[in-house]
Amino acid sequence: MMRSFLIAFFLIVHHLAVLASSDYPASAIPEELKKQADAVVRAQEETFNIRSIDAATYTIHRVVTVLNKNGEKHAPLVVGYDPQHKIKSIQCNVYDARGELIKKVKNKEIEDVSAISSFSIYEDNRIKYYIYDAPSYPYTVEYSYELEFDGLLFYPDWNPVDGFGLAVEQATYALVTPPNFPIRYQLQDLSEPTKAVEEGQQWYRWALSHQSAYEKEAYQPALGSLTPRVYLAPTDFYFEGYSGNFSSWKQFGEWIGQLNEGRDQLPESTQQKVKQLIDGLSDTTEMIRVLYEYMQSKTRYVSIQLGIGGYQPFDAATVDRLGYGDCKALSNYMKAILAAADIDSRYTLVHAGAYGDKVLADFPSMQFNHAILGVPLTQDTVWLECTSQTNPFGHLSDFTDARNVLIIEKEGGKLVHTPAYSTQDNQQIRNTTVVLDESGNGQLSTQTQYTGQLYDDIAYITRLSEQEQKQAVNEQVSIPNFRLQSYEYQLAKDRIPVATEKLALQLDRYASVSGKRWFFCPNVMSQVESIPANTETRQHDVLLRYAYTETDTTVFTLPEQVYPEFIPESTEIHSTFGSYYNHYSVEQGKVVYTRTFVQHKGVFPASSYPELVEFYQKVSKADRQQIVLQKST
Amino acid sequence: MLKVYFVTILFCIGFLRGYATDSPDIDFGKVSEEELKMTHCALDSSASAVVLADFGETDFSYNQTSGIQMVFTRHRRIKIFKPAGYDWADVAVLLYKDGGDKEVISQVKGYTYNLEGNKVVKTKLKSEGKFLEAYDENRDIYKFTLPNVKEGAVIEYTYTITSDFLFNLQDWEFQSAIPTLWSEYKVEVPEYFIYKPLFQGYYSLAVNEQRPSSGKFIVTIRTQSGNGGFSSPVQRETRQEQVDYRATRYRWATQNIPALVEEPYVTTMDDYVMKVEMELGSTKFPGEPYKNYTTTWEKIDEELLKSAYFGDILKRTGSIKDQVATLINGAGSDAEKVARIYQYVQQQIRWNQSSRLYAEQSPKQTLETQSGNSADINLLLIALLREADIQADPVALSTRSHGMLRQEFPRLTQYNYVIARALVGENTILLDATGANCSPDMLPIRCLNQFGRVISEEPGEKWVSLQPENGSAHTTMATLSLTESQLQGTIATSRTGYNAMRLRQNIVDADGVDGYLDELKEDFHSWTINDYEVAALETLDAPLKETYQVGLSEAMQEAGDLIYLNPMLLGSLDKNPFSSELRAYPVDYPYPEKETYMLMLSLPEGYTVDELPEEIIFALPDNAAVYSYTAKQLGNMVQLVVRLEVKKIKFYAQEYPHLREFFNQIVAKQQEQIVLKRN
Repeated sequence: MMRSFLIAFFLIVHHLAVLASSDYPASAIPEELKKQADAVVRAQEETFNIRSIDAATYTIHRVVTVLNKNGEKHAPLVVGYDPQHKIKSIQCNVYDARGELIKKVKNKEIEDVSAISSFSIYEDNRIKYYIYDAPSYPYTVEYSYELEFDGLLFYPDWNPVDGFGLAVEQATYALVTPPNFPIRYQLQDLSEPTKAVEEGQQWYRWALSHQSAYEKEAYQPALGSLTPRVYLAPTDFYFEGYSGNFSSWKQFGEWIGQLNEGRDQLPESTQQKVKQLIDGLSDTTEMIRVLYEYMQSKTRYVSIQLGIGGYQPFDAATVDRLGYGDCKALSNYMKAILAAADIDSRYTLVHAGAYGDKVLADFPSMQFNHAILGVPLTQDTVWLECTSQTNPFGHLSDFTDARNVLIIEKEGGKLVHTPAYSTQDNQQIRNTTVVLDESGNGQLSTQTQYTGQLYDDIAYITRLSEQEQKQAVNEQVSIPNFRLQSYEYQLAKDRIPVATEKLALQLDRYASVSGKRWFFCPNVMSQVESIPANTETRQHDVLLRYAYTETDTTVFTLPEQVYPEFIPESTEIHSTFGSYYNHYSVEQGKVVYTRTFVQHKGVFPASSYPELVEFYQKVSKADRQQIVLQKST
Repeated sequence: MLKVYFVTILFCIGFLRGYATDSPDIDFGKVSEEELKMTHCALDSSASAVVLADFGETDFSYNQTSGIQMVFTRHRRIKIFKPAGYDWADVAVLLYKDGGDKEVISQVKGYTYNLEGNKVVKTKLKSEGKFLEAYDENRDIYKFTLPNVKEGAVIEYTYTITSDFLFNLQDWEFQSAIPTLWSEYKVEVPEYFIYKPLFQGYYSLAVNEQRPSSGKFIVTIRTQSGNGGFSSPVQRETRQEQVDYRATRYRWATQNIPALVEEPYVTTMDDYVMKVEMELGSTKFPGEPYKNYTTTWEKIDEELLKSAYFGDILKRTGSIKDQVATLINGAGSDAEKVARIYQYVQQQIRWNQSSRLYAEQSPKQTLETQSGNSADINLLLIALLREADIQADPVALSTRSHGMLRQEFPRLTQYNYVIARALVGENTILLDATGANCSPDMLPIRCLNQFGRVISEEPGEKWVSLQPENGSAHTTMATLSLTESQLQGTIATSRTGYNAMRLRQNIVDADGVDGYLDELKEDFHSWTINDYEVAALETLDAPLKETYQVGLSEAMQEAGDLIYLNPMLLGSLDKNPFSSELRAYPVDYPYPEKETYMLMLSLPEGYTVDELPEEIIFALPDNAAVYSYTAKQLGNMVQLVVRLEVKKIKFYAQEYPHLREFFNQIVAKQQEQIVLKRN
């Protein structure tokens, strides 16, 4: 993973004169700002003062009043730093509801920890933080700090509403530069800055006041894409001995290309190995697959990033020797392996994560946190995730699918879009048989194919220990009483991968036998689990992140002398969000149940939310319908 | 001879004979072809990795500047089968530090072995893969990552930790998150120290040896004679002297221990892992008197009573007099005084979420800052009670996440928490003012961990049970009538104890009753819920009651002349909570539970009952848990009464299959339906 974006996130900030005695009694917060708010930013002044191409000072002064427990997350002082972003000063005070000073935080009370929680990696980012234990609400935390930037690869964005439940009474951002210093910015729900020349420096000022809090809703787009924000980025920059220009993706890519230059040399022995591996293969895709799997078998992900190492990969020879590296190092290594086979590929930067696309296409800047490798073929491009030893060849998963990525070519960078998974790509195809005995116990065997992104939900089980595998299967199956008799998984690692799961379960009293009647739900394995909450008002658009199709066929074999008393009608539902169909048929001692559920992906208007709720409620009802049988005596 | 105890109270451990007692032949730097060719672990066929061998050894050394030190050496060899096992090649060693003293790691070496063709390729761990990082005030982390790890690789590493902290002799876990084929710990203790080994776990030792041995320290002695001046010049002399000592050599080993995997209903996994800890009992150095360390609970009591952060703090309470006078002004009985003081602390002082045995501030400061750790709060409570002339004493305990308290091994560090005990007439009340939704007679769930100890100078029985006598009860009464394809009527619930506490907490978490109602509507999305009311939300010692009107359209299925209806509209289990078929360690419920569901159902005009679920009652041995289900027709009403009571809180591994089957039967019974037929 690339680093330092964390830091940008934490940089929120003013030169502290002295923290003034508080003028912030909670009672002074305007009533309308308290609606939906858990915390209110009373005042926030941030200044980013660029002194030269590679030096700047960032200051923040922030006063936030916490109204309730949920608001506590908005109060802590958190400062990320590393050798290129040094802390010059920190101060923090706490005030009670009336605005009386109750605590001046001492330096030794501020904790200092590594920014990386995992033990397995080493990076040089650290965090200083202080969290106040409040006896009651409301209370107010005021802090200020100053950071010295050495090298400017990015400028801190302005994002005053950085969470749900946070209202803003007053916030300002000032960007100060030398005269005629080129900068770039992009606005989201904000107007142009006021510009002024003061004491020979260029000032850009933004302000936000009386901004009410955002309320969290299910299935909504990311908050960060909705709130007032200023994105900022350098045009010319200098960082750790490297200079460049970010005014176009092309130039951005040139700089990355420069960092990677000459780092793709493989030892002679590995080059020979590559040639040997592809010897006799004529299909390029097959060669790439063989070499990708070779890379997977030879390496693992270990993140060691220091200074420029946050952006520049280890060279290929080092990865070859150690057998590990981070996303940059492993992608670069894979590129070198392909090069040894005369296959051209593109080092690619991406903003990875399951939430989808976050990259602003028309604003070239350091917006990435991950690297992958693109291999252009005549028809399309194969994308290789190089940090996983288990990922199927060419499978993007939800970590890198359907988004803008920056490919690095000889001529510079180019923004392209990775493919999305469709309802055809993501499928769950299930065939189940249940043999019921006289007491209503069942012997179930089922085979399910999970394709595309659904593959990932299942493939992880194969990597667990035996006891954990059993636990995982037991959790995944929602039948009330069963005993797992056997399980088996097969993985087909293709660009649309397929995981096949075979289960044999002994069902205890699956059919509830009361007196002469039998009851059971024929949808034994595939009931919808969660239903969107019915809310009275809906503010935001509805985002469905995944498209998929579920297909079920279940055949029940009944014991002799049992015949149907009640068979539900079949159901058909159509909606903007998807469709549903189920059907029951009875023939010669068998009940056959079929079901198809399709969910579409996309962004739908807020007004359509009730329809989504209704769709899921209908599906849930249809899924739970029961068959009633009678025993003839 | 020292006696080696096994902690578990139980039937599960004995010293089984018949295991191999020889250590496997594993030398650092030499891997066998057999190890490299291994394809899976016979103990667990899908394990991603297995510990082939783990050797630990603690010895004592002497050095002129630091004096006696402990030297711990570890050598671990792991076979990696799958990529999921690669994490075992990333190693993190925590190093303790305190002031200027710190544990020092040295001699870190490692190799990765791969079989390439028929050739063994050996790759060495170099400095580029090693890092030291500050972790927190008392710990550093030393990390290293082994190179060239692939499927089928064998990795091994060794390191040495030198420590001045003689109280912290390295403990040893024989069990891990992956299976362990051989794990062995050797400790050689010079006669100057007595350490007591403390064992726990659910497997047997393959080796359990203790034998006399001997050792030597080389001590450098500097002497000076003469007082200077011409007649008596100063003479300095340095000589090395050998100090021989007798020692005790311990050797413990286990063979084929399965991976430790977490299951539901546990205290903390630390209570179940197979391990040995070494408790410093006493020291006797040549020329110095014998020193005893925390060998009895009574001595620990004394130490706590003297501590400036525990017993002593309770004496410095002059400044809280006025507060107490205001609080108890007009209180008639002692019981009322206790209730008022408890309520005051519970509501006014906020717990900062840290569980501590020792206070960090005086009662006066806690009153001023209105927040504190658990000890600050409960010692304040005791101070206030005493000021009101109520007999009150601290009770030290170990919380569930801190692990089981083992009475047979007196040790201060077994405690991590303190609550209050007040005597009111004949009654003893245990109080913890940190639990926002606990009534005065309840302890928070974290405290429900067997027993605690009263810390006082008074004689008498000091151990007190923390087990709640009345755990928790939940009764649901549904009065419904069936008309026009709808079930309509009233639901009333009543909760006490922990069940009430949980709902009170849920309501707080949902930002109040309105927020909670939204969640309820979400959970029962096909119901209409009206007139929702909660009684005694803030009266913590009264049962918490809900009432609401409901309309249900999806609860039944109509088919011709028939109506099918599952009467378990609320409170049924979706699934057996114990899904694993077997379990190696006990199920630990924090408190006993009682659930009752009653339904009074009026039938629609013109319908009669065609079928009702059968009456049934089943129980575990000694009525440890009982379930009963009755359904009756009374005129045009159907009456259903379903009860589940779990009385016992600890179920051992061999009782587990019964417990699991008990819940299987409940889940099956809950599926049964009522059938109504039109006349």
